[in-house]
Amino acid sequence: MASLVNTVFQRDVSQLTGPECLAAVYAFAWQIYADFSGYSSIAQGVAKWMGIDLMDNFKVPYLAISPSDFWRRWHISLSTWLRDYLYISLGGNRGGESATYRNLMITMVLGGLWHGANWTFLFWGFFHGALLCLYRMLGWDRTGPLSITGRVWRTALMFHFVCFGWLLFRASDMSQVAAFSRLILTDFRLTPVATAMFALIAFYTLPLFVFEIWADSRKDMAALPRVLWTTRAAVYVYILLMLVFFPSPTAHEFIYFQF
Amino acid sequence: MLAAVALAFGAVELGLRAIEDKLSVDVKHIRAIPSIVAGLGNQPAPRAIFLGNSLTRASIRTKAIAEAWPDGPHMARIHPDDTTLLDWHYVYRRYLSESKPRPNLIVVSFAAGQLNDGQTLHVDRLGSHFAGLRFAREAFEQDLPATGDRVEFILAATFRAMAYRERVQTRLLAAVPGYGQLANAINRGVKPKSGKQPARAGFTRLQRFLEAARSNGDRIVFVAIPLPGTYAIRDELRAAIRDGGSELIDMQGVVSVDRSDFPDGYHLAEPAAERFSRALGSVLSSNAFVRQALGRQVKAQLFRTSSSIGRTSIPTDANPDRRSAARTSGSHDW
Repeated sequence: MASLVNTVFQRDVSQLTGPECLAAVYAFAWQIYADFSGYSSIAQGVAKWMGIDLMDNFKVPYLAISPSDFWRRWHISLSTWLRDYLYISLGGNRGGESATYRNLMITMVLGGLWHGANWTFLFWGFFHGALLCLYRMLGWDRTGPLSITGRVWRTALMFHFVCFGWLLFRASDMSQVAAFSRLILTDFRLTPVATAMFALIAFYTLPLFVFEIWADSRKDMAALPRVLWTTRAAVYVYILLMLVFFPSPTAHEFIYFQF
Repeated sequence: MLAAVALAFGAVELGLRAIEDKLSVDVKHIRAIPSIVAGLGNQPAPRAIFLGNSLTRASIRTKAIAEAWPDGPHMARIHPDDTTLLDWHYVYRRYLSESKPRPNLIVVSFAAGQLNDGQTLHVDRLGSHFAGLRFAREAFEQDLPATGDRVEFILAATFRAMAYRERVQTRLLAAVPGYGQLANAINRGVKPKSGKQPARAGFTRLQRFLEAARSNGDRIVFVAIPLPGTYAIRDELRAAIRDGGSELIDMQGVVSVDRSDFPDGYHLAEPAAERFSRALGSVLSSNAFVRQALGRQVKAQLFRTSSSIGRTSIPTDANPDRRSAARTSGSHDW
């Protein structure tokens, strides 16, 4: 994923098309998720060796149907901290609607700035704050049980909102955000490079995503050890062969090491 | 369950062993190295072997060399793709240094920084193809200090799945539409700028290679092959080759080539390769070091075929000092 992302984000915008930019943003969504979630799992596992139980930091975040759902699934340690020590300290949702919106915006903008003093992080926090406010305003964050169709389109919509957030997060500056957004919305030339990028993203991430949907449906992310041994063997063979034949071409430092 | 996983992996391993010659032309070539060496050994002396990478495959045509060098040696080529000096060192150690009879001359063709210590190691290929378990000790002591690399080396030497992982990946990904263009775009992004060398990488591996060759009495000529842009040959490289008792021939600029002669931006096209090979044959035929290396066997033919060069006797002893003196005289004129 990192190779795909870097290839597009480091290229001159005049050489890119909309689908290439979109594929790069999708790739970054999976890169940062696999990177940070994997890194958190390693930390969790190592801590467990030492008898320390750490909280889950991710719970299938791309299945979220709303921003508040997303933040209950993504970087849970940070979002919980921001909620408990910032949002609630600011008054939370106890001071009426406008105070709630203000508190949400302040919390998310500061959460964005926590990642670094850069306009892109500031706008990323602002965007997520605005998204939380918008969903709250529309009442979409308080829905009851959803039909499969309703759940699917809300998940897809939320995923694309999150992806726009990742564009803000990954871009070197706001002019790159503007250029990528313009291309994604106006340039639909599907080049061989874009086709290959979409195919590779599907090849590498679909099995993981299907597994997560399955685990989420069972409400048990550690469900695998409890299924039939033949299913487990098939999964382990797949993992083994992927590790052997499709290792990362180059070593990349964890993205979150910089934060 | 573990047995089932092991069984599935074993099936993949057996499958790869069954199709390894079909996996790529390069694998087929690497697996043919012993027969190439044996085939050359069956030819009457003198014998020369060209050792290099895809540049050698593309640029060096033994037939064209023979046309320009009628009294030259019997020739063969070993050119595994994407290899550099350390790979060639182990190809020499494993396949050439103990072959009987040995080639009279080894011509190592290279470009840019391929002889320096800054080259990337392909641990899997060192383990599986070039060094193998037989030279694992030398590889561990000299080249692979990291435990991870050593484990990868052993796994690659033991399992085809590990040895061919890159090739399997390439073959599978090649089925993805547009992957070629994407790979080119990625490579353009990660390739160092043209002519950029690792910061003053040394030549200790080259010295090791030359020492091994010298201790076996083998003669080595290094030939710098043209690329689309000219590259400098550092004085340290010239010194290392000279001090190692070998010869360097810089073929850059000897044949007129331009960018249109490099259709893929790196390898010479057929017509240019023919011209280059004839020029190389001509240069080799008149090089004192080369003639000395082939001398014992070439001498009779020279007297038979060329009165102009029959004037001079060719030193037949293997004394390195005498060889060196003849070479450093700077005269290629017989």
